[in-house]
Amino acid sequence: MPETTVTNGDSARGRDTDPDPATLERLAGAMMRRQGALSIRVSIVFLSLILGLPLLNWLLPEVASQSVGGFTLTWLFLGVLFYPITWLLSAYFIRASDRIEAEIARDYGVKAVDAKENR
Amino acid sequence: MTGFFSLPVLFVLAMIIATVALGIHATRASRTASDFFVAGRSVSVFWNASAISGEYLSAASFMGIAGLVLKHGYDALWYPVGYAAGYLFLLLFIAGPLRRFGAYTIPDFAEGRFDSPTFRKIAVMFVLFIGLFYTMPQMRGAGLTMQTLLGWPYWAGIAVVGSVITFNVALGGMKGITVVQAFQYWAKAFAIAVPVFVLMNVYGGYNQRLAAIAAAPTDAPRVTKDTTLAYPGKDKAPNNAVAFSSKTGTFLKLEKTAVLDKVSTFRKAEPGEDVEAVPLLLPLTPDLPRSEIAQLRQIIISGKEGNLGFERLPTTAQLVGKPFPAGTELVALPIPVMKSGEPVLLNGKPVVTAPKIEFATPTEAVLPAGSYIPNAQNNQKWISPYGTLTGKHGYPLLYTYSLIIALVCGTAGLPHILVRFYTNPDGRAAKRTTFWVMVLLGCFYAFTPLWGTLGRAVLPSLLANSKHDSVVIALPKALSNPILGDVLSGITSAGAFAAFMSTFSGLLVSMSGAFAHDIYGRMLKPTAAPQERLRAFKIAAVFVGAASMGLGLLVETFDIALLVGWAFAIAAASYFPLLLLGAWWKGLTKQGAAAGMLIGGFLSLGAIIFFMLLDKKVITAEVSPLTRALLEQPAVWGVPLALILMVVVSLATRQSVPKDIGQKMLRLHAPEEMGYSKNYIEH
Repeated sequence: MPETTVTNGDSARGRDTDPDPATLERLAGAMMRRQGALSIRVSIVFLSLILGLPLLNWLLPEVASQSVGGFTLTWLFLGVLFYPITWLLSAYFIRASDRIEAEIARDYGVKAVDAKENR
Repeated sequence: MTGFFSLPVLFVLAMIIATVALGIHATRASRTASDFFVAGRSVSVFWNASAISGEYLSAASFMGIAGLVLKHGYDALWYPVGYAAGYLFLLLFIAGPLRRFGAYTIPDFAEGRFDSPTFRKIAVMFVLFIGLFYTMPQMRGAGLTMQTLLGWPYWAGIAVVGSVITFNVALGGMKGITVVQAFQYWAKAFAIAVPVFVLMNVYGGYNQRLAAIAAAPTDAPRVTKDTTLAYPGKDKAPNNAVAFSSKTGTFLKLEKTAVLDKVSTFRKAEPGEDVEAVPLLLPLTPDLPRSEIAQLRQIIISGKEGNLGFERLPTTAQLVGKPFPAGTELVALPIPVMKSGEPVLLNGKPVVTAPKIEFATPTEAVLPAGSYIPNAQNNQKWISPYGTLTGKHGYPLLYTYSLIIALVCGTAGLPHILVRFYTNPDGRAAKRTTFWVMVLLGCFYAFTPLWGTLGRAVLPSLLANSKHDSVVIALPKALSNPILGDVLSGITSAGAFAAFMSTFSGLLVSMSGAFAHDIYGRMLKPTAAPQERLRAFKIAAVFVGAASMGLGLLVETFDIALLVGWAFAIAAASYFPLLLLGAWWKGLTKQGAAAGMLIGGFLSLGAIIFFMLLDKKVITAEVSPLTRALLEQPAVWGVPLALILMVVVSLATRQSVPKDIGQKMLRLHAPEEMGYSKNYIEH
C-alpha cells in the first residue's frame, strides 16, 4: 500500500496540459464504461449466486437438502462457503479494476499531450 | 451467578473501562475539528478495515443472528450473509467513486454532485431516520444483556449503557473511536469464536449437531428437566404467547396467579374449518383429573361424547379474563383440524393444530421434564429453507428476495459506515479496505449460526418464552462446570457490550455530526467557528443519545435482527439509489434524486412503522398476508420504486443536469494520478 498523502485536486488541476471539456467528457465516458462493465460483470456472478440459491431451494429441495459431511448442501453453501466466495470475487474485482485504472492513467498521459498538440 | 460481583459482570466492566480509557487516551491526540469528524483521514488499510468491521458488528450481529437461527434455523442464515455480502456491492459500485469525490458524508455527496445546498438538507434527514432505527436494536441488546446477566429491569441496562457511550462520544469524537472500534472488532471476534470451540468440545461439532437434527425430521426440541418460565403480560405482546406443540398434549403448571388474555390455535383456521368447536386448553380440576386426559382427547378427536360429556368442559370464554390460582395445571391438547365433520388432510395425513395462549398479566409457569417446547418448530422446518421466518405470511420466496435486496443494497446506504471510507487516503485504498472488511466480517459471521445450532440442541427452552436473543449469553451458563460457564458467559457478555457500544457510538457520531455539521454549521449558523461546531456536536450527541434510549424502551418485544433489517431496508430505498445513480448516471438530476429518495425512503419507513404497530396490536386492521409480507419487508418494492422514480423524474427535468457533469464524473471515476479527485470539505 503506497502511503499516498491526501491528493489535493486544486494543486493538481494547475497542470499545464488541461484538455478541453469535450475531450474530458469523452474520457470520463470511456472510463466509466470500462469500470462499469467490470463492476457489472462481477455483480452478475454475485447476484446469480445469491438470487439463484433461493430458486434452487424452491425448485430442487431434494438437492438442497443433500447431506454433505453432516451439513445439508444448502446450509453448507449459505452458512459457510458463501463468505470465501465473496472474498474471491472481491479480490478479482480489485485486481482488474487496478489494471483498468493504470491503463486509463497511461492512455490519459498520451491523450493529454495529443490534445495540447492539436490546439 | 447473578450477584453484582460475579465473573460475567467483571468482564463487562473491564470492557467498558477499556473502551472509555482508550477513548480518553485517543482524545488527547484529537485536536482540530477535522480530526474530530473524520479522524484526520490518515488511517492505514488494516486499522481502517478493523475499525469499519468493529463499527458494523452490532448487537444484531453478535446476539441477534444467533437468536434468530435458534428460532428459525436456515432462513435466518440470510441475515449474516446479507450483512457481509452487502460490502461486495459497496465495493463494486460505490466505495471507490465516493472516496475520490472527496465528500465525506452522504449529504456532502448530495450537495457536491448536484450543486444544491437545498438537496443536502433533504438528504440529511435520512441520516437521522436510519440512524435512529439502527440504534433501537442496540438499545434492546443492552437491555436484554443486563436482564440476562444481572436480572436488571430492561430499562436499567439501556440507561447505563446508553449513558456511558453518549459520554464517551461527546468527549472523544471519532478519532477516539477509530482506535476503539478497531480494538472492539478483535474483542468481538474473540468473544464469538473462542467460547464456541469450548462448547463444541462439550456438545459436539457444527456438522454433528446439524446431522442429528436432519436425521430426525419430525422430532422437535424438548426440555430435559422441569423448567420454570417467566412470561410477561399483554403489554409485552407477542412475547406473552405460548404456542403449544402439536405433537402431544403439554402440561403447564402455573406458579403464580395467571390471567389469560386469549386462547386460540397456532394455525389460523381457513374458511369452513371448525377448529374452535371445543376448547383445546383445559385447567385440571378434581372433576377433570390428569388420568382422564388421554381418554378425553380420544373423545374430542372422535367427536363422540362418551360418558365424560362435553358439558364438563369449560368454554373458551370461560377460560379468558378470570384468574387461575397459583398451582393450577393447564393442559393443552392438539387436535385434528375438522371441516364439516371430516378431518382436513395434507399429503394424506390429518392436519393437527394445538392451542396458543396469551397471558394478560406477568406470570410464571413450570414446563415438566420431557415436554415438547412451545414456540419451537420441528426439525424439518428448522433445517430447511422457507420455514417460519420467510414463510410466516405464506409468501416465502417473495420474503426471501425482499430480505436479500434490503441487506445487500442497504449496507451501501448506512450513514455511519460510508463516512469511514473517507478515512482512506485514496480510492484504491478504499477498495482494499473493503476487501479486508469482507474477510474480517466473514470470519465473524461464519460463527454466528453455530451458536443458534448449539443453542437449539442444548438450551431450546429459551424459545418457550421468547428469550432466544440472549442465547450467546445464556448458552455458556448451561455448562455443568459453573466457573467455566461464568468465564465464557463473561467473554460473550463483554463481546455483546463491545457490539452495542461500537455501533451505537458510530451512529451517534453520524447523527450528531449531521446536526453539528449540516443543521447547525450550514443552516442555522453558517459563520460558526470550528470551536462552536464542536460544542454543537457535543450537545447534539447528548440529545441524540437520550432520544435513542427513549426509543430503545419501545422495542422490547422485537427481534434484534429484524429491527436492524428494517434500518437496512430504509437505507436501501433511500441512500442506495442516490449513491448508485449519482455515481454512475450523468443524467441524474437533483429533482429526480430527491423524488426517488424521499418517496422510496418514506414509503418504506411508513410501511415498517405500520407493520410494527400492527405487530404490537396498537392498531388493528384487516391486512392480507401478502400485504403483511410487503409491509414487513418493503425492499422488494421500495428499491425499484426509488430507482424508477429517479430515472423518470430526472428525464423529465433534464435541463437541471449540472453544467460541469463531465468534470464531476471525472472526479468520481478518474484514477488519482490524473489529479481530478478533490477533498470536498477542507477544514
